[in-house]
Amino acid sequence: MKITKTMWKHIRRSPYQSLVAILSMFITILLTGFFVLATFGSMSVLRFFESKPQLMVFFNDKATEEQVTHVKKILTDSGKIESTKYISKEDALKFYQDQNKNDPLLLEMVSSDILPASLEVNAKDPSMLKDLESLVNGVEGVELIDYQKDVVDSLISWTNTIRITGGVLGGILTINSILTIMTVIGMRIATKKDEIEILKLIGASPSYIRSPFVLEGGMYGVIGGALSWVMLSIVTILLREPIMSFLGIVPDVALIFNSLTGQAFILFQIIMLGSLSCFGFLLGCLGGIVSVNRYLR
Amino acid sequence: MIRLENISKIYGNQHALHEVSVAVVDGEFVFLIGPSGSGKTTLLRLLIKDILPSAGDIFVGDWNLKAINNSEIHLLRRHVGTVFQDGKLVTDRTVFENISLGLEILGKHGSALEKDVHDVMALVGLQDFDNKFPLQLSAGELQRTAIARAIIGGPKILLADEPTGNLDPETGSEIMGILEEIQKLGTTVIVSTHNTTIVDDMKKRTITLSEGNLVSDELKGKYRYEKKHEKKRQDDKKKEIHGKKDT
Ligand SMILES: Nc1ncnc2c1ncn2[C@@H]1O[C@H](COP(=O)(O)OP(=O)(O)O)[C@@H](O)[C@H]1O
Ligand SMILES: [Mg+2]
Repeated sequence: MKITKTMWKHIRRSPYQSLVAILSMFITILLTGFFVLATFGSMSVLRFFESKPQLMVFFNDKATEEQVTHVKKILTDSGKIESTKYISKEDALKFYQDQNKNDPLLLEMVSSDILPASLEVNAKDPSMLKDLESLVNGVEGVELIDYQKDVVDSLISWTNTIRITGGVLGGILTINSILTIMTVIGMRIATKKDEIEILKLIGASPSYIRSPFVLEGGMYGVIGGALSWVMLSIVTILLREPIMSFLGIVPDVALIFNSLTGQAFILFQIIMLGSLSCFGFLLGCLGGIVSVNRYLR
Repeated sequence: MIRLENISKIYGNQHALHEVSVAVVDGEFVFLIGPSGSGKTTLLRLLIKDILPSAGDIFVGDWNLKAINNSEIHLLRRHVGTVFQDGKLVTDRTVFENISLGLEILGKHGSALEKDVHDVMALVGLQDFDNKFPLQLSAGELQRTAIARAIIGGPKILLADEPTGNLDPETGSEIMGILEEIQKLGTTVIVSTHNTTIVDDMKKRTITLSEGNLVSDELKGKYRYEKKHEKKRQDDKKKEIHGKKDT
């Protein structure tokens, strides 16, 4: 209560310093928040694709049971797979019929002869798909190998790009905003030098003297965090449509963006507000602590 | 209990105090006198560890000041309230806020704090000064504010550094009255001054410094007291003579 009062006094007295502090926090948290969201998003998309059968080995019609077993053994021995599942011609037909049961025309066109038998392979890691492909490529009985190479590859590279860019940019901005807070709080300490001296002489404890400065830094962070939440939530609301149409198949994304008034979306916003303000608070306090340790002996 | 043992203080090459030893027991009222530059402020600042002695030991209450580290100094300064020579009021805070600072640092707030502040303001005669700023106060009112802030936390010892420094004699003796009142409530009071008139008027233990040396430690005021009586006797005699003349 008292601290918010003194802070308000500070902001009124030197609005530009406070503005700079808040702005720097806002930009840092906004961009860091954006990259964290993007990282989570791309990770959940990646996880979704990872959980799908990743490699399909199709056998030609003459493939024998031994040949299938042989392929399975090669893959298992590589140590790079989690599981395999054999789909016979009959299973494939059943699956096909299930998928197209509302379309009699398509059903009629297909018999079990046309559909190949196949092996669904789950790799331990999508980056191993390429190796697995080369292992079984050309093995007797194998007709065709298929995997969502492009999707997974580009997802991996996107996720990495986002992580690295976000990490580097977030790091630089974080350091920058800590330095900004440090400077602003340092100026504040300089203008209050006399008062601090008096407080020391009349018996104020070090923490009594220091905490207002640290908390002031924290408050700038909270304000910056709250502002960036406003920005990010506007963006997520505006981008709901395209997000849903591109990524609606990913269960996590669909759950959150299904409805703007849904529980999941509201919870998502609350968590976002909470973590952005907390992040801002910690960052601001850190700047304040650095400043206090530097300028108050 | 306050005890200084062979205290010397040298600033650069300036000897401010030279092997001063003195003790003050709980509840005493002591004057510290000496001309400007004799080391009064230096001695008082040593007692709250605002500065460190060049040699010697200082004991205040249960503390050996040498052994107090930086994270504990505030406890000593709560034990020893100080009225600084230059007031040291916060200029952008009101009288009320300046005085309440002495309680806020102890973690007090709310209506209990407000009541205590008003009680102390009444004690020093500052009713209705709540919203005045230091720049709007007279020298005497500034002193009262500084005294109020120093005593509000209930220190066992009160140091007052030239509290009558730039006051007219009447206000000066009012301030001394307040300090005496505080001593009667159980606080040890040490008052530095170079105003010998006041010292002579009050008849208290008086420690005299001269160029950093302790030159005397005695009950003063007797001289003045006798002089006053002598003057009265002379006046009476005159009256007597005049009376005789008249008759
Ligand atoms: N911070 C200081 N630096 C250097 N010399 C000082 C300092 N404070 C006081 N002195 C010197 O120490 C002597 C005693 O000063 P002080 O204790 O202030 O005397 P008083 O309070 O009796 O007037 C003076 O000669 C003064 O110039
Ligand atoms: Mg002095």
